[in-house]
Amino acid sequence: MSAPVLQVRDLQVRLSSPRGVVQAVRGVSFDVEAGHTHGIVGESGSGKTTLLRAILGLLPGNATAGGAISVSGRPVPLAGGRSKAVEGVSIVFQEPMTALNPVVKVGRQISEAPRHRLGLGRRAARDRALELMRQVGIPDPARRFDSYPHELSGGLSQRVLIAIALSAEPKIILCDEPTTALDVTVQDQILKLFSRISEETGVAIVYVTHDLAVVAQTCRTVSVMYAGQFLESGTIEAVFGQSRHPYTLGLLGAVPDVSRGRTPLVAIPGSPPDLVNPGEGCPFVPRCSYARDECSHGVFSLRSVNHHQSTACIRSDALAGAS
Amino acid sequence: MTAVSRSASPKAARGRRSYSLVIGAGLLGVIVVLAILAPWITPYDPLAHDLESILAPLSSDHLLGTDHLGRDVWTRLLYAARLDLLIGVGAVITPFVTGTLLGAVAGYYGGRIDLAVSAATDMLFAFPYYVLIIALVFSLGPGIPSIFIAMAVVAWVSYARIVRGEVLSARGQQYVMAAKTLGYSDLRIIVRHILPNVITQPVTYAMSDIVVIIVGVVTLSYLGLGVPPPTPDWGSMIASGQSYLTTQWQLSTIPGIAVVIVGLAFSLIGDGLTHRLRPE
Amino acid sequence: MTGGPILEARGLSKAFSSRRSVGDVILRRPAEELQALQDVSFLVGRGESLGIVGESGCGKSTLARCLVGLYPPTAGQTVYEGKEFEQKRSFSDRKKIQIVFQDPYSSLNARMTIGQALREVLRVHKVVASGRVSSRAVELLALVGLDADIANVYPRQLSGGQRQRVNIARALAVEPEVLIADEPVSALDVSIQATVLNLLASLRERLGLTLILIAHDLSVVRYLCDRVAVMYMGRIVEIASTEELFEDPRHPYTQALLAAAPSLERKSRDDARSIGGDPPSPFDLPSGCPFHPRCPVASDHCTTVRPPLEEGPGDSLHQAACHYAWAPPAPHHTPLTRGEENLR
Ligand SMILES: Nc1ncnc2c1ncn2[C@@H]1O[C@H](COP(=O)(O)OP(=O)(O)OP(=O)(O)O)[C@@H](O)[C@H]1O
Ligand SMILES: Nc1ncnc2c1ncn2[C@@H]1O[C@H](COP(=O)(O)OP(=O)(O)O)[C@@H](O)[C@H]1O
Ligand code: SF4
Ligand code: SF4
Ligand SMILES: [Mg+2]
Ligand SMILES: [Mg+2]
Repeated sequence: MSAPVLQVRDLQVRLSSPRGVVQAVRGVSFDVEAGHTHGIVGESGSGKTTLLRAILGLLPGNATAGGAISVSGRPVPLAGGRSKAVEGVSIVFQEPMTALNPVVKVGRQISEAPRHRLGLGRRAARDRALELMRQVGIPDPARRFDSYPHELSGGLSQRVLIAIALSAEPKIILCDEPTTALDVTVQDQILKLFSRISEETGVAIVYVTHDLAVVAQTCRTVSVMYAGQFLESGTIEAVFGQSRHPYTLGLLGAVPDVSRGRTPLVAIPGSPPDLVNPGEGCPFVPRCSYARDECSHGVFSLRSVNHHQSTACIRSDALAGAS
Repeated sequence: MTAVSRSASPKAARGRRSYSLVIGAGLLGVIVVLAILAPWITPYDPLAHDLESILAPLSSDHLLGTDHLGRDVWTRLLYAARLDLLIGVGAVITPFVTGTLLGAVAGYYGGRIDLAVSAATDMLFAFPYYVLIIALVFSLGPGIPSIFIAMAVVAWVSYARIVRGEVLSARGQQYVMAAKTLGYSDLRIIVRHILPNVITQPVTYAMSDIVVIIVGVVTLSYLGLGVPPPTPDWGSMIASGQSYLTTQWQLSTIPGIAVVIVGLAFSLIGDGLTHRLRPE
Repeated sequence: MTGGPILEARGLSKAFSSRRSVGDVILRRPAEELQALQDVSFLVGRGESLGIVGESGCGKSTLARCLVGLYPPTAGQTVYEGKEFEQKRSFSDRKKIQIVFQDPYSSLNARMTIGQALREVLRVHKVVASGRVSSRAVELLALVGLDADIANVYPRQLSGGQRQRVNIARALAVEPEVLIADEPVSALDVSIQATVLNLLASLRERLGLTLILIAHDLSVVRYLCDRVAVMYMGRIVEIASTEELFEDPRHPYTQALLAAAPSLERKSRDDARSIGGDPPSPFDLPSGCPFHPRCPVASDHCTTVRPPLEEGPGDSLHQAACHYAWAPPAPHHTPLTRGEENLR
């Protein structure tokens, strides 16, 4: 087992808002090794983007953070500020169109990091950009080099963003719902591209999405995020095949799947807690059909149940074999 | 997006804005109350000459002194407020209503109606606003009715433009499409569904328009085209006080300040309303 | 098909022309036409649920809007119980087909409470006696599983799932026979989607509704629909019963969609059937079969001749628009040679 490139330890992020302090991330820990793809699934508002911003060292000004993050052993400053650690991290966003500068040719945007961060000359940077464009499957790179973002389709723009993410030779690429805005067939191409990139370059990928099936298809390991916490973590097979947490089980039963016919869907009743005052105990209590009195007290964090997975549910034994 | 991030920051802004709404409304309220109560809180007749106390300085008898005909300035100031506010608000109503309706119809139906309304607004917009109004009042002859007519002819274009744009974008919104598929009449869709959602913009604009009109009336009166003397009006007060600026500064300055305060009040109200009326 | 046909799309086409500037008019530049919908025909049986899937921009919403009468089609008709709808639909005809839109946030009037919105529909259409309007509104809320006190609330105070249920209640207020749901769950969070999907399924059963469900992803239609039509660039490329379509897709595009759909259960992907490239620009459709630039089995023939939507030999209800859907390529089949553009 190689040393993890990304280590997150007991990360806490609080954001001040007029309604009070939003506890967006509440004690999250995980590791990702080089060449691995780790998925994080969660509903909207569960804290996924905030977690990624913390790893990037880009928390908003109204944030206070606790815990520790390190990239290749170097600590990421949670209060912001430049660091060598952060230079090893790139991000790919959901909306490819808005993430690109509309008035700069895409080739220039891709060669910016090679030129200024890696110190290549103009020609070398251009060659590097063309090579990256080829690597991410942009047809006819020499011609596309001089295109403006609006001339590209959603799929091509996303490839450009991935090329930009790769251009600084990162150790980790963070993906925040990178295919949500894309069509199914194009999403499929991009997901394959991510798999190929991690195989070829050994970069670690953290893939955030609300789509369980996308995670199942792209990642080796997954964490299920809810109300700022990880409720379950482990290999895809373990978490999606033999989940030991009622929330994961609920999600799995609530989404239709192409490969499944008319297995009835069961909605999860209620809605996620308000993160301004999430209260004590397991955050899933009000919606959980397995809940007992003892679920409402104490701190709930992940503990291993076997080699492949860990869960925050104290009644996980009652769930063994439930899925 | 989540419930929190959706509402958190606008809420803060809304708090600050209702502050400006409260201050603006308070300011305007005080002026309106003073104007209404003018006959009771001032012992003088705004038109009565008092040749004994011409150009009197500020004193307990004459809070703001008297003018060159011995009329009490405080009294005239309040009576002028009655008239100028009435003209300002009154002159906006017709253009507000016609402009909003024409704009709504043009935006909703498009086609020829839209073409006609747009052509008319474009044409009127090509002229400078003030110049056009002054020219119209000049040709119609001085006086309050001319001001109302000039406003009705010219000022609707701004409302029509604003509302047309808003309705055009509302037309593609799903709540309007839903209303259409439910078989609602066009009148119902425009009046009950679209207008309540787009009215904020013309209402805020009307607030600034009132200011523009008051300033306009004051300007016209200053030029001798507006409110005919001896009726008290801030414009004519400023004009007649001008000759005594070096000795009796208050004669021109005080009505000027009144215009500024009224302008400020309406601007604050407009600003506050924008945020208060926004549905989200 | 469950009952006899209730609704028919007969050759529906819809073109949008881009707005011309004054300069374009002077220079006699023709308006650019965008063919959003081309010659779409199908039948829907009473009580049936038909799914329509396709990628963004393929014309699904345009089709829905033509069917409910929001857009006048450029050609073709909507036929209801054997009778053509007039171009300008009558008040009573409008009631028969209702629609639920994709975005639950913008499809309710923000200035009206839920109760006001529901009572308005009931009054305009005189669905019940005026004394019963309020109680009927509460019944409608109950029908979609919402509490009566929701009636006093403004849309902004509701979650996306609740709003979508209000939208369904409002559409059902006029007692339509056909309900079109245009991507009713795509804007909703995963844990909430099931509530709305299950509601649609149960309403269909309880009220005998005919349902047309539009979705960009196949899992939703597989869950809810009896039959599925697949659209590509404004046309139906395949239509079949749900089982047929998922078990034995005949059009290469349907096969690609199925191969590309991520799934929890299927680990290995069918790479042979996945496709590269992006959907073409709707302003500049390819000649011949519109799918040929991305089709893994296209031949030269496909670049010039557009395949019609044709029934399979055994099954009259399974239709596909591909030259090779029902017959293997002829011996002289020449695979298309492509530029680098199409390889990925
Ligand atoms: N009012 C309109 N004016 C001009 N073009 C339009 C209009 N409505 C739709 N289109 C175009 O018609 C085509 C089909 O659009 P439509 O909205 O039906 O697609 P869709 O399948 O519903 O896509 P999505 O999944 O993105 O909603 C698109 O290219 C779209 O840009
Ligand atoms: N800049 C911010 N200020 C205040 N609250 C925020 C801010 N950004 C996010 N939040 C809140 O933090 C929580 C998690 O948000 P986010 O990480 O964006 O979730 P996700 O990416 O899963 O949608 C939400 O309750 C959200 O409203
Ligand atoms: S800890 Fe209790 S409430 Fe939380 S998921 Fe487990 S059983 Fe449910
Ligand atoms: S007709 Fe040709 S190009 Fe079109 S789908 Fe069939 S094989 Fe592919
Ligand atoms: Mg997010
Ligand atoms: Mg659509």
